[in-house]
Amino acid sequence: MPFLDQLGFLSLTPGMVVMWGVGLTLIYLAINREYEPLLLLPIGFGIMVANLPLTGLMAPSEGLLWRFYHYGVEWEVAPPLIFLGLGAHTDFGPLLSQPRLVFLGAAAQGGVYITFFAAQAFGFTLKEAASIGIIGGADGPTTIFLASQLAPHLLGTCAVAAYSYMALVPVIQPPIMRLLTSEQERAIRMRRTRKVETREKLVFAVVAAMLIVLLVPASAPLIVMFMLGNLFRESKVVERLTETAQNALMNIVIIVLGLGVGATMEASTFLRTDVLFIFVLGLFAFAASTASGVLLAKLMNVFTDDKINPLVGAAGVSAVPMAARVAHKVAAEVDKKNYLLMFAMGPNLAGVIGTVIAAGIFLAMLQQ
Amino acid sequence: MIVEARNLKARVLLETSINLFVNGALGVLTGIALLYLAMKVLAITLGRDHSYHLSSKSKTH
Amino acid sequence: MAEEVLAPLAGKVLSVAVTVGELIEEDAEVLVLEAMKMETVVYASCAGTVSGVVVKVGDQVEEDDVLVSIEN
Repeated sequence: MPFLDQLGFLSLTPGMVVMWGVGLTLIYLAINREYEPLLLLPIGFGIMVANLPLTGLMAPSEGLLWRFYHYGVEWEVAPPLIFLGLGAHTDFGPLLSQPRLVFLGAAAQGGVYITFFAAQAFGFTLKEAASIGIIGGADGPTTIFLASQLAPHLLGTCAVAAYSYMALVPVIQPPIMRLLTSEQERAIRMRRTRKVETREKLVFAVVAAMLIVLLVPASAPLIVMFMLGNLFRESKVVERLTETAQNALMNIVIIVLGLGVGATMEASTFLRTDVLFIFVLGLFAFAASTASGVLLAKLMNVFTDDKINPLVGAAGVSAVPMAARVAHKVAAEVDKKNYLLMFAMGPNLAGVIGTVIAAGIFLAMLQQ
Repeated sequence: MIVEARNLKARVLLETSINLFVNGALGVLTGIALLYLAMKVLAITLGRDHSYHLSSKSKTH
Repeated sequence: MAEEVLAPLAGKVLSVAVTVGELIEEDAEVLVLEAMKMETVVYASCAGTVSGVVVKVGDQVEEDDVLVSIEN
């Protein structure tokens, strides 16, 4: 009987059912805990439907979700478009007024490389280790961008790890920040910033894009779109485009990206022991990046009289703007009249650029 | 023979990964340093902080 | 002598906790700003009588804008 042959129930496997649990957990975290709901909700649902039998949703060149995945993620379209939206949301003012804080964004890439070596010690290949290490950059689109090119079979896991830990930044970071700083250091009030002119922001968007791309051409898709979005915003003459990049376009891309990424997580690729290692290593990467940012800030204080509150170093992991908020809140615990938020935004944005450069170099050297 | 081949493979792997790290660290630092310079130049030329502006100008006169 | 409470960062005024003529302590909550989708409480810089509230709920303020003045 053709109908019975087509019955989905008969083709269920235990692995599929376990994956429903994984998908449901993400949906639960998204709705009840509001853990990065914009991404984890479609990813969670994507996981569930990709683990229904006989749907053909992920059938190459036919399935709907396969098309989302192929044209959105594999073709490198979705992450750069998200970067366009992020650029349109970004104000480089806080960074431009305190240029020296940009170095903290470089330091926070320390976790990426420490984890890269650790992942190799666990037996991952170079390409896999790079995709896992980049989780420490705390930048979702960049993680997806790199993993989809270097280790597509780990894409879903790396993306879920990156977004879950980004949601957990307020839990993961504060203990490390308190451990590495004294109360006096956390109470440091930073000197007021100068006002930044619009023309500085405009020129910066263009110059930064050109400099980074000349240095690391492989980072072009992300950096170019990011700075274009920022140029839209700061030019103030294309508000229609700014608004679309920030909202409508970004939302459409998130739907395609979330579903596509979730759908790659089939039982056979996800239910393996090394997935557990990826989550452990990802957490380690986050912690190491936080620590290296704080430590560089402390080192810079040795050489300068205009002290930096080392907590802003922790904002060097991208996770915009959660990491900056965390720095602000931890400082406010010691001195409630200390307003670090805007100072922390500088390293926060520098962290995004640092992670993109790191990803570009991995890509250039490993993609042959 | 097999042990030797494995050692060789491990050494090549280690070399590649160290190579990746050195290149990555250099790239990130250079990129960030370039941005720092760009921001400094912007602050001096276009910034509203005219004390910078004037002092840099007076040197050229 | 009047002292002015300045905005510590740019943001939107979410609520104002004081009214003109009110007697307040140092470090009392003056108003709440929203920046980066986060609420930031602004505290009184000194004790005294509120002599003027310059901003109202919904206003967009820049860093260092005067928010409230206090007579002490």
